Amino acid sequence: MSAPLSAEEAHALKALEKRIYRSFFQDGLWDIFWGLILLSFAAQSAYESLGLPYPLDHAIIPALAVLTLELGKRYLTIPRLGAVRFGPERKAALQKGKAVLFTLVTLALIIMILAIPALSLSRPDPGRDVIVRALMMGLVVTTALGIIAFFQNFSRLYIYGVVFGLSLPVSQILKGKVASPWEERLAFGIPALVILTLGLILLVRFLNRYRLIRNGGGHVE
Amino acid sequence: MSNEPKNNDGDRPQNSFDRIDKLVHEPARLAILANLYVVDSADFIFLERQTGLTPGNLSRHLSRLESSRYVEIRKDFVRNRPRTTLRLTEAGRRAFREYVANMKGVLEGIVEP
Repeated sequence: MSAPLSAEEAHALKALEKRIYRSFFQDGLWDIFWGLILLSFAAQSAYESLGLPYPLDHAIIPALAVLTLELGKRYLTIPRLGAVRFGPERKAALQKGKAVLFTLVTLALIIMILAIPALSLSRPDPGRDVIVRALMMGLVVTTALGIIAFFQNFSRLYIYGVVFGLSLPVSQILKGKVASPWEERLAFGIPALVILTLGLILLVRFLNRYRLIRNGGGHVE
Repeated sequence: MSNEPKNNDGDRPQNSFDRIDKLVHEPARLAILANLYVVDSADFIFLERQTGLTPGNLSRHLSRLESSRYVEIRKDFVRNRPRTTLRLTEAGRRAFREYVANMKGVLEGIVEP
């Protein structure tokens, strides 16, 4: 039987696995994905002008985000970085992340449903309730994205989670202060454009750094 | 009498260096094994990127690792394009672990003779 790896060696190999896993985030496609999701909130008022039935109109930008991610990974990232299947430990961590996320979102929704009527009764000014509700929703979104970031090992998503979470109350605060629908456009649109720009910069840098390998199949005799 | 393992010629005790697997010891092959050790499987392009080896060099080292049954090579087509998938065998995993342990022994032997 072979000697087991020491804790130090196992740690070094884990760091190598983590580096490999994280290298798949340098293409900027996940940034573009989250940027587009945030942009879909900013474009809510524009959906009506499309003339499509609800909820099809609301699904256009999120569908574009999913399509960009899927096609980008398939036709841009994998031909350049190669394909890799991670080990059972990584798969288990991602499964655990999904389970934790599902539980947390369900719990948060239950708490919100129970807490909102109580909040409405206790506050004389209904306008403030809307902001409190938006803050609570923002907290749920930030926590959910934080959990995804943790299990995906995607550090930038922590920041996007905070930005996303803050956009909800900010849009409510801006209501009445700017002409509608500019509160949505400003609160969601500005951070969305910043995230999208960052994603595009990362994508261009990735495409320049990793040129397409012609003989992609390899030729092991 | 010493319990130290004997070398193939049987006339001198096997030192730490003799236990080093020369096939694994080569830097390019060690990089291939280390990268494959931490994943389930990977394709040719992935290893090319991670190790920085040229396709010809990588191919040559993979052939050697395959002939020693350390690496399993599978070829198939994905969307009409050839794909070479590589996976470390159990023997390859064992060889890598043993190499790491033996190298540690060698280094400790140098520091504390």
